[in-house]
Amino acid sequence: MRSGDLDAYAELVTRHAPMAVRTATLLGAGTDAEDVVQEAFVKAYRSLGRFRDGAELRPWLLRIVANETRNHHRASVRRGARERAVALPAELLDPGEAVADHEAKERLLAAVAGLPDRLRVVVTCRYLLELDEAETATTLGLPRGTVKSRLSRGLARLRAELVEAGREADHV
Amino acid sequence: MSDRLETRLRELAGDLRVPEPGPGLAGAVVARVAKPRRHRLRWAVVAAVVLALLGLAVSPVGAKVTGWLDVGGVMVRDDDTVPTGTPVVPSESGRSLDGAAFEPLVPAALGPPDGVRVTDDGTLVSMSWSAGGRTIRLDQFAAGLDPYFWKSAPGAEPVTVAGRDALWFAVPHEVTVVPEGGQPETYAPRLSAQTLVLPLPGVTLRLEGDLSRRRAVEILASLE
Repeated sequence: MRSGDLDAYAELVTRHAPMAVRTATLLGAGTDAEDVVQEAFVKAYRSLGRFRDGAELRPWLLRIVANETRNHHRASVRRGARERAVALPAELLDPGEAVADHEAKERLLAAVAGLPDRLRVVVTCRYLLELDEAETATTLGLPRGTVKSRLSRGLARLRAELVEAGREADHV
Repeated sequence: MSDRLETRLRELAGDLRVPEPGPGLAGAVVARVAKPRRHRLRWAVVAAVVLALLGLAVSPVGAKVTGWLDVGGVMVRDDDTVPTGTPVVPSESGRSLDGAAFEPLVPAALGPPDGVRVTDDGTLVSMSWSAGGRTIRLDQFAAGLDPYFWKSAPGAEPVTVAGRDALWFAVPHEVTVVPEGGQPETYAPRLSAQTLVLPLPGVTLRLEGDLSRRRAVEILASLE
């Protein structure tokens, strides 16, 4: 008779797993995203007692996923991973599908991947994961104001980067 | 230009392909959380505290999860006995109340218990009564009820037992233990039963079984 709560939790995991895996992947967990997410859901279960009533579930879960992604990254650096995986590899853009304007998109993705970490994660949450500012703040454990300022700095960097790339392309 | 870049980023989001979670993910998570992490409980020093908290720190966890999902939950409680579908008769059952650190109470409405167990340190006394395939269990903890529990207990109905405040849980809950200064430990469901929690000075009682609220109140009102 261990249905009930555990079944309920299994359903919750199933419901939020796609977004959790997407978050872990885009924040840099790469092919280990599912392991990271499994770990995150185990931790989330054990921390449910500390979940504040009235808070929103999704960003709370995503914050655990984001922390776990960071831990995972640190651990692989400690283990001496030879090279740092690219946070947002080009393979994320499915070449098999007719993605309009494929090259421009690859360039944009590479530009986001090339941002300094603290700007990259904010831009990733806000635009690639399509979280709003409040959710981005919760997920990354940052104050709202910091999210705002990093977003505008991130966008400015991207704009400069893309103008530069565009100019080079024009001259080729 | 700003809008243009933001639009492009949003379009990019739609084109990113991330693998779907494998079908085994939820199962793997549940298998891991269902396993009680016993090694932590072996700390002799905290064992007594933990035992007392097992029955007391019924957390809002279950209610939260079920609240999110709108499905029924299950009464969760932990014990050192094997999982079973009915309330648990204390293992190593005996009849002796020797060794209890306090004066255990027995509900006259149920008569002498069929099984009694006193923990080594005497801070937890468990009694059970079985009849017609049904079991009622009463745990008595030499500890006060956590005020936080009292305030936060979700789905609890305040009731009065012989003039004292008590909490009735018709909807099952999950148990999380929080050792002092430690991480909350959540315990997997073991059985489904209604519960009446009655705090008395220095002792907290928990009555479990397939009981109506009226019957549960009647039983605890007959404590002697």
